[in-house]
Amino acid sequence: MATTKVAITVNGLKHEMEVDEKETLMEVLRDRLHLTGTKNACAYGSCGACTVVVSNEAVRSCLLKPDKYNGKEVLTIEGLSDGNNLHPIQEAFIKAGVIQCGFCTPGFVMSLYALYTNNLNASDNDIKAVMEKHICRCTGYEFIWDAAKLAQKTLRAS
Amino acid sequence: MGMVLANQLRHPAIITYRELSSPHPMSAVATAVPAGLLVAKGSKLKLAKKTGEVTVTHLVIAIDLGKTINPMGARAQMVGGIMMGYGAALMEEVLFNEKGIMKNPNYNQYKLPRLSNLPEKLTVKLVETPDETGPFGARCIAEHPSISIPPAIMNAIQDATGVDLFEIPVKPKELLSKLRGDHNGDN
Repeated sequence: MATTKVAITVNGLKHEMEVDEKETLMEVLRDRLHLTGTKNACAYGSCGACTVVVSNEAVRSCLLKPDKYNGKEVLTIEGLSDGNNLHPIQEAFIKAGVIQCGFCTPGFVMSLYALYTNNLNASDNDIKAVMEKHICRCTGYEFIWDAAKLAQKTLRAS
Repeated sequence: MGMVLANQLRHPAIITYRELSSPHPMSAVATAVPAGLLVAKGSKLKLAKKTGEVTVTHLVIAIDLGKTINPMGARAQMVGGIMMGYGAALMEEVLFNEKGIMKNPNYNQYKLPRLSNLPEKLTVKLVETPDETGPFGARCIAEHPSISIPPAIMNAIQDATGVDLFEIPVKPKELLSKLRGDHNGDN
């Protein structure tokens, strides 16, 4: 199998490795770096569970091939908190009571993180457009919506 | 009426299944926790006459869960159930070809509810009639919020159009042809 060398920075740590040329970023994160907060659900780019932030953009890590992530800076759910202090978005998710099975949660959090990092004054429609790309089977979205609004409010205030 | 139903439902839960739900003496594992539960639902919806698309605008759900232990968790479970039932009623369908191979094996083709499908208004009522076999009088909610959402939506469609439907999911095309067929019949 053909392999290729890649260097990526994940949550501030540099990694160099030889990966299969079809190996996705999701596989690198989960299987090589054991950062299993990034979830593998559909592997089709349709459900959003594998969303991570690459160069300040939310991307589906299951669709990213080596040439697209080589040399990039990647932020996963594991790198979001500051030590034991959770990120305001994570806090908002807990406060709003979002977590049920929790499988979709990292994806939602990372997408919202990218959205608010790029535009803290995102309109309701912007938030809806981002959340529309994610699937949640447990919560019925209502509390996730509440959490998204709460996070925006907290981030604006800080 | 409510009382009669409640009695009918409560007896199987207490008499027939009590042994099943007790922990096993050797393993201390409970094998099943059946519970009689009363659920009432209603829905309001919009129907696009040209496309046959159904938009649920208001869903009401009332459930007798005995005792609410975690109100937030209870509401989350109810709303989650509503959306799962919504998917079953209007969107989700596993299709097979003649060889028995699934035709829609991914989420691009197998449509399930997303944020935009969330009804504008959800009313969740928690009723508390203690269940003497449950902890603090509580019953499980589990799947109960989801199972009667399709009838609630389909009854609302019947109420609006007069078309009585018996199959889920209700697809816009099929609904439209039924609507047109009905009008032809009337004329």
